[in-house]
Amino acid sequence: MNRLLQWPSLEAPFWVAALAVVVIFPSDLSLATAIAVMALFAVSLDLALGIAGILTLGHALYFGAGAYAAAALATLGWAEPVSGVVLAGIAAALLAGVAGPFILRSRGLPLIMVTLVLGLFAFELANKASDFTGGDNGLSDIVLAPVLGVFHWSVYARVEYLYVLAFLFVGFQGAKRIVGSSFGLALRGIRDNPVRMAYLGAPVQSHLLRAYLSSALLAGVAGALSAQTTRFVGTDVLSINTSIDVLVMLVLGGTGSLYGALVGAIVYMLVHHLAAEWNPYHWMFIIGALLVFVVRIGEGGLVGIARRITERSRQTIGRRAKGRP
Amino acid sequence: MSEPMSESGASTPYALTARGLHKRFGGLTVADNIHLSLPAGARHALIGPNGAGKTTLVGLLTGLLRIDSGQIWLGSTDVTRLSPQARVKHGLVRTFQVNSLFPSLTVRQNVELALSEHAGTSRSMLRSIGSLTHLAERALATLAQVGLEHEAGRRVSELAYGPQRLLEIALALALEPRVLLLDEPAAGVASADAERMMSAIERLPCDIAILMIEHDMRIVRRFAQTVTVLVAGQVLATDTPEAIMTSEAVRRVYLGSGGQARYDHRS
Ligand SMILES: Nc1ncnc2c1ncn2[C@@H]1O[C@H](COP(=O)(O)OP(=O)(O)OP(=O)(O)O)[C@@H](O)[C@H]1O
Ligand SMILES: [Mg+2]
Repeated sequence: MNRLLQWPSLEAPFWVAALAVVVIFPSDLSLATAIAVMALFAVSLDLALGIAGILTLGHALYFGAGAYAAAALATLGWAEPVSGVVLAGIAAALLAGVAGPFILRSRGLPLIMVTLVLGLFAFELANKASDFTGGDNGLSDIVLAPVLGVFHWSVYARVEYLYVLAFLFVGFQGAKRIVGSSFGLALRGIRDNPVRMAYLGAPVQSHLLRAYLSSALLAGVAGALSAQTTRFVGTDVLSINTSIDVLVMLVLGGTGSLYGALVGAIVYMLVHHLAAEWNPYHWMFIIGALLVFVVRIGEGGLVGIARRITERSRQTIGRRAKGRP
Repeated sequence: MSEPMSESGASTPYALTARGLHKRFGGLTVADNIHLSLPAGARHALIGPNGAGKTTLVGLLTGLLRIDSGQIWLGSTDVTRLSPQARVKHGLVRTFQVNSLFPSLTVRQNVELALSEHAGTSRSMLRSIGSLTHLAERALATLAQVGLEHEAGRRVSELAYGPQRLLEIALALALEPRVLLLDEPAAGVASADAERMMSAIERLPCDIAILMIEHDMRIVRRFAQTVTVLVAGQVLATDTPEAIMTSEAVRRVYLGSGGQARYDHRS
């Protein structure tokens, strides 16, 4: 039926495997937590960029806004973490509500430029406003109550990981829901051909704004989770590098399928981790080579490649079954 | 401003009325005091040499291009200052001379896009599109109107040109137009698909007012009750197909623009 949602058969095993990480890699759960945070961030970018075609190079703005909002809440004494994440996500969405109508007036290259400049501006602002952001030292006095009042944060990051995984699961299902709705179809229509969408009577700008707000909400949640689980927010959450990292993850995994965001974040973060152990200065070469390879091989990123391989082998099997070599 | 009334019954306004439309692109006048009225159920052809301003006129009527002066009504509503979207909501729908589809989506999804905008379900973010069963059914019914129901699952980018032209029409039909502007629907289409196209157009509900841009005089004669000839942004003549085709003035325009072969050959 739906081309981009044709992987549900692999989805249940994926979540089971994600849970099994707790048992299989008990000493790597900090890394696993960071991966899950970035996966949610990549999902949020896919909603804006892959589905709705909003070419943004400044999505760290909402990740950073969520991180600072969560840190600010904790510093102000709001220690309950779950509501902290939700509030931080709403704060990021509100920011998108202010910036969105302005940003979404452009498309294509001008849009990339506007989002880039806005991101750089926010980064500089965070550096200047050191009273609030802690400047180069960042914010590290984030004190949180146990999750749901019972699960205490642990040094092995087990609670952290499961906590983030729960948000990733809910966020992913929500994003999937949006993509599978007629609103989601309208977004893909706008991505393909905004002029014709207007001639179908579609409120193109309002559709785009709502997609952008949903995306910012998820990005803000991811940022808040990053702040809470690392107990630290530095200005780098707002940096252009953060925006580029998440974009590379998404392109690597494949845009427009949501699954690509998960795959891309995992592969990118693992390669980063392993290659940085091997050579802390040149790991970007490996990512770069991988990215070039994936982009050269065709559309759809790693998920697209995997899909084409399965389709081809299915065809081969089908032909063999019919007795034709 | 007074409401536009048809000449016969003072109480029934035209489906579409345009009065005194002017449009210039820099020094080039592409619409020069154009008057046009389509009663409900009109079958009106718009002909004219290349570059006469036919596509531009559709752009002006639908709001893609801004008019320099003039007025446009749909029924008794002045839509001169409304957005393209708002005009669609008032029943004014167009197709494009150059296919304007959604290439990465399937044929059925293309129609579903139109249907869900028309029905207003496109704002619901959390209801699965699969649960809107009537949407899928109506998409297939709309595709059947142009004989595309068997291509429903194909990606548009994999579709041949002729079927893509038919899908252009299907998208417009899904919006249940009151006024339909067709910009050379059969241009470049092989004869079998052109026949499917024309019979689909002929089967449309007879209360829809249709304006069709078309170069092929056989098609014009078969389709139209009224023909308007546009030359260099001006209306040269509006009359029955027979009168237009025997008109010396019209003939001279086509001769003058080097379009003789096309005009004679196809008529
Ligand atoms: N956006 C624009 N800016 C400047 N000039 C334009 C623009 N669009 C069209 N034109 C010019 O306006 C004139 C009318 O173009 P239009 O496309 O309306 O002609 P047409 O009658 O539809 O021709 P055809 O039969 O080739 O489709 C042409 O000379 C064209 O070059
Ligand atoms: Mg034209």
